[in-house]
Amino acid sequence: MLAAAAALMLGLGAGAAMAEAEAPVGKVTPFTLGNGLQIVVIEDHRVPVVTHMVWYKIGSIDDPQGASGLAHLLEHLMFKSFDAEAKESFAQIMSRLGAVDNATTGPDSTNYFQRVAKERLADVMAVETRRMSGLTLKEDQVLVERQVVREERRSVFESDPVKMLAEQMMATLYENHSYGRPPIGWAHEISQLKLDDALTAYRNFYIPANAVVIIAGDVTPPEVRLLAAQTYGTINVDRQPPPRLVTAEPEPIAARRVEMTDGRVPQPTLFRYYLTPSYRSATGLQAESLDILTAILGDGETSRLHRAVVTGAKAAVGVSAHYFGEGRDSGRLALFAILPGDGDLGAAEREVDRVIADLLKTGITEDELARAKAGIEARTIIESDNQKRLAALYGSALAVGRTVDDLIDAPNRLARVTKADVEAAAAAFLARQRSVTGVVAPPPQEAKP
Amino acid sequence: MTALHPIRILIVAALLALLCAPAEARSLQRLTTPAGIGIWLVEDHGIPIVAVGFAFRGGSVEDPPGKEGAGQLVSAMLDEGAGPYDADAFKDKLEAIGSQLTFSVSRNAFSGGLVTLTKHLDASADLLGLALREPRLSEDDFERAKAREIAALGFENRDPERVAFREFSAAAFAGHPYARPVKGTPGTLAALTLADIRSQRDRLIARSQLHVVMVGAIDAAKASQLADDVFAKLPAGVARTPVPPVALKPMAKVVASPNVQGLETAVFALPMPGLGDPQFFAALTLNHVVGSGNFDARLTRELRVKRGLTYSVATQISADAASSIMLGVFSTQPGKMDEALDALRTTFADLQANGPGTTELENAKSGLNGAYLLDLETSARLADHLLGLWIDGLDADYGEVRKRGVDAVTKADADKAAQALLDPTTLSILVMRPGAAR
Repeated sequence: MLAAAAALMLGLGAGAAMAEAEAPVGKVTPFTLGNGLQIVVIEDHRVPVVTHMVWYKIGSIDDPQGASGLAHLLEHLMFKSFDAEAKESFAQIMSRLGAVDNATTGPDSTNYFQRVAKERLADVMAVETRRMSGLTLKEDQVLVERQVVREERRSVFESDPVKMLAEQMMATLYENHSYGRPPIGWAHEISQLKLDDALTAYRNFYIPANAVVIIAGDVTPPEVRLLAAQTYGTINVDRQPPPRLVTAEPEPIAARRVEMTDGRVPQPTLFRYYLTPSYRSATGLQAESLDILTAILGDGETSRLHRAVVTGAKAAVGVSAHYFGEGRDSGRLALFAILPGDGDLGAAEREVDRVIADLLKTGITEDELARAKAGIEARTIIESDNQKRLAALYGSALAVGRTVDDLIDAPNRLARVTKADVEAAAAAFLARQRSVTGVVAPPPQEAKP
Repeated sequence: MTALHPIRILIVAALLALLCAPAEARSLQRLTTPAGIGIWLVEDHGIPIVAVGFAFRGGSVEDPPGKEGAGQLVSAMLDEGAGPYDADAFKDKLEAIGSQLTFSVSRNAFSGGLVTLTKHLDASADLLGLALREPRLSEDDFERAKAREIAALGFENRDPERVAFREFSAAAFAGHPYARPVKGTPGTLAALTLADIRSQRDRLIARSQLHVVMVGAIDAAKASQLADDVFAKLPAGVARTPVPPVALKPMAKVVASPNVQGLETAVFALPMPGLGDPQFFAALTLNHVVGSGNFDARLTRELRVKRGLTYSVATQISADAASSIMLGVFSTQPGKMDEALDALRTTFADLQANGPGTTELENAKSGLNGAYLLDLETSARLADHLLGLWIDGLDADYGEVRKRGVDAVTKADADKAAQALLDPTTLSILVMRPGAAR
């Protein structure tokens, strides 16, 4: 926690005891500007630092057919000069402000963030206001940046066979929805991306009514209202973003399989994805139930999969489970097992299937339910220590249309989940036909001398 | 999904400056417990959690020759059952309360961390104490942990930069303990026995080498009592032989690795002044100018923004009592490496000849001082950071020292340091290309 870090600044031993305000962390205040920009303030008065994030509701699912990677390329281009007259580049301004900054592009949204001393918040908001309204680009900048993105794909994704397998599995899991396309884009389409298309996406989507700003840190809502009126509030764009394409998956009818051979992976590795709803698309307590189901199946060394597959059958050396529930239209429950070098993929898969079949047949116990809830509760509190993560939690959720009330109510909803809810979610979503199984293994070895 | 300029470098020297207003802050307290254990405590009741970090000086450098990875395996075994609990029961206890307990080894320290809700602090501390004092170290758990560590090592090899860093250290520090792999190799791990682990545990877990940091909702009295409960009964252990200094020599080496396909990775380094050297802060500032990874850093501008040769290029000062270097890495497509290395050398040559621009220097200084605190995002990271300072022989107020040092760097200082330090002919470079294993 930063409070603590700030302590060091004291020149230790000065011992300035700070009067403790009540609940220094976690008060959430949303409001909306006249131009439609949504703003959320998350107070954290432990240290004089703020995290500022702009989330645009445009992601790779909005990439036109044949132009995968466009939203991500646009994210890169946003770091080019946003103003032909500007004396300083965006990077120089960030350096001068002493900011830590970055950006990410996901399937549903694109996010820009800065962390900075609180006195610099006004400067950061001014800069993001200019980026929201005045990007200018030249053809040659786009040509170089396409190469950079191609290098990014090469060095971050293609260098890693497991990421390549995951990309293939997503393309297989989604038969209709553009979640099946990688946010960074397919290699052959990255090199064809056009400046005009990027500028069109910018004009359509980078507008106040299509953005959410999260400001977490040592600020109060009245301060932020004032700054917002002076910065974002001056953007007079009253148009709405174009409607976003929403496609639904057909009801899955066939289990699918993706197999890769790659010498860079010394251990055979097994993945399984199940198509599920997301928090946004679920009904009732389905998403919360999937979170709990995931914990029971594969969170930690007391989970069912670990005890059966690793400790028991010794068919794998590690297993884990994750529920990806943050998407707008859909989610997935993912299982992962890493085998010893001489491991048998068939045996590991049979053990995993046995655990799932057993859970479907006999259900879960009240004790497992209680433990999973306690674990998720503890993790939630521990994660609230991380200001950036808290801001991202709100930003990513609001960017897919969830609400502040929804997030504040999350612990209550989790507490209401029953054993029957979890068993119903398991029965509905852990069906073989909803799944893609992926394996990557080294090529068969020649007998060693 | 895709981050813009990730800076991922292995050994982060303890480099921090501080920028926030003192009035807001709480103080760091230095405590000595009744049993004589030193604690740095940062008390903060903002969130009901506590992070406990501790380190025993002496990490993988203490692995006996041929037994590389012994310390790593000790770290993997301590939570595999302890005291009255077998491995399953131990983890059951810990996971039921959602506490996070980790052990790890680096070149110069064996470390651990506990993050827990305050309400479960006592129960968590009991488990930590048991793990340190009475680990079960059973044969069955050992074989499982060994298989897991060997697999993890192989799995890490998917990251070409990690493999390249390891190859670089092996070549650049040949003959010195820093040349040896911190986590061992599949071969050395496989050959380790439970007896090796027991003796390595006795060597590493030594009270005389211990330092403790606590951050969070805990006061001094409780911190002191907790440290004594957990650590006071540990054996004192033996004195450590300091790691001998090691100098970086110019090197140009090409290695082939089956871990890369479709790209080439370069690791490069230059010798730098040591942590206590008057020129250290000028070097730190120049490093920011050269390779902060930001878009206005020289190497990012030359290799990425202008030429599109790479996605990410960054450097970092990796400095401790035995070594100080500027260490950098980038990857590019096959066929472009020579062009990229030419651009790299030209960038260094230009800075050596002309020094940084005036605005560039001032931006680097404010960037360096500004970014410091912002990276310490959680209690656990702050605890780790403080432990790092201690392991490097620095004091808890090093952040202040560093900030003053950086602020004081003038254009003349920077020019002089650039002239002395950024000589491209002293670069040590390792290029890793796709190919069969050696």
